[in-house]
Amino acid sequence: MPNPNQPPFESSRAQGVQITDRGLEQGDGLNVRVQLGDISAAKDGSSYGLKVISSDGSTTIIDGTSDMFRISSTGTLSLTQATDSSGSTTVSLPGLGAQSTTPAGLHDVSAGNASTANRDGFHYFEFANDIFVAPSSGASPTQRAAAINWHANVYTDLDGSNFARVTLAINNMTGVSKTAFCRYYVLAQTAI
Amino acid sequence: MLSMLIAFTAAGNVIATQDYMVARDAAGNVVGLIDCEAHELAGGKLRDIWIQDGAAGSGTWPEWLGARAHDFMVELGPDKRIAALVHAKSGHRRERAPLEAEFAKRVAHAADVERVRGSGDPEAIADVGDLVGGPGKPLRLDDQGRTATPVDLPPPPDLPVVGAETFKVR
Repeated sequence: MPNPNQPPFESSRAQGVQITDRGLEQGDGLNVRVQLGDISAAKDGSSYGLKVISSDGSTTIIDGTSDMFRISSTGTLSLTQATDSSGSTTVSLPGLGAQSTTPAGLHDVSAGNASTANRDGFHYFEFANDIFVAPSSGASPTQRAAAINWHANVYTDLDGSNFARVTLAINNMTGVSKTAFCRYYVLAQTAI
Repeated sequence: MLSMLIAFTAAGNVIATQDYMVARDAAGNVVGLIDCEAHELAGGKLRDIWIQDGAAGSGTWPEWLGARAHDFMVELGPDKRIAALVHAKSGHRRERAPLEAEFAKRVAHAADVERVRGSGDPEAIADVGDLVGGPGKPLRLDDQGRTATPVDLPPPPDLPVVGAETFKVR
């Protein structure tokens, strides 16, 4: 049944799209389910956006108070690191303007760049085989142990001009050069 | 036109790409995507948009290739824009000129269609996604740098759904 208290959609419960004094509304025949335009409860233009309501007419799925991340910029980086060395590469993003705080980031890093390559989150590790340590001081090295052979990671920070910056770093302790690839997403938190 | 950014070393190796960047007004509101190509064609410096450590230069490229772009070397044209990407191993070339010629052909076709159908921006309507991919949906390339045949994936399993179409008030 229609929700009689459904704010702020007092104008449209019909099925189909209607133009109202708030903007566009889409109903399902019982309740308004989508509104695009002025979504403020007081209809005073204090909040514009998209509001999506569940079929019970009272549960808000998305509205101006939803806490969301939007992608400000995305791209890829690669870095080849010589044997037994560490290094990094960075991209600064002045096009986004100066930032007051370091933006959130969602990045993956991989040892390959094929479409089907694994995408590890923020860190990529490879472990050395056949590393043994002594189980006690002075004893023979008979205890198998984990040791990171090479490691790549990607992170976000701000450069000296307060521009968002993404860094891909590699620590390569293998006997051959290693290349890492990353996909970065610099995010902006919105609403609330 | 929207395009990908590519940064390259002095030797021409691709070391970074950027699919897109949002543009904001002084109040911080998003107002669209930065038109990197318009900035480049107007003589603007791409360092206004991004600064890649270790890069000798950067430029726009009409395709989206994701991390596969790192398999290529850039070739600059007389106008100092990227004219071609040459696969470092296979030598396969991806050229700008034929792509732009195909764009022009499709835009002209879209303009013809729109003359019949009504008003519209032919450049916005022309579908070039199969040629260039798009932001967040790069073309699939094989190990030789050629555009791979689209994968014919099986459809998702046919499972019951609770959603806008089926979840009705009882």
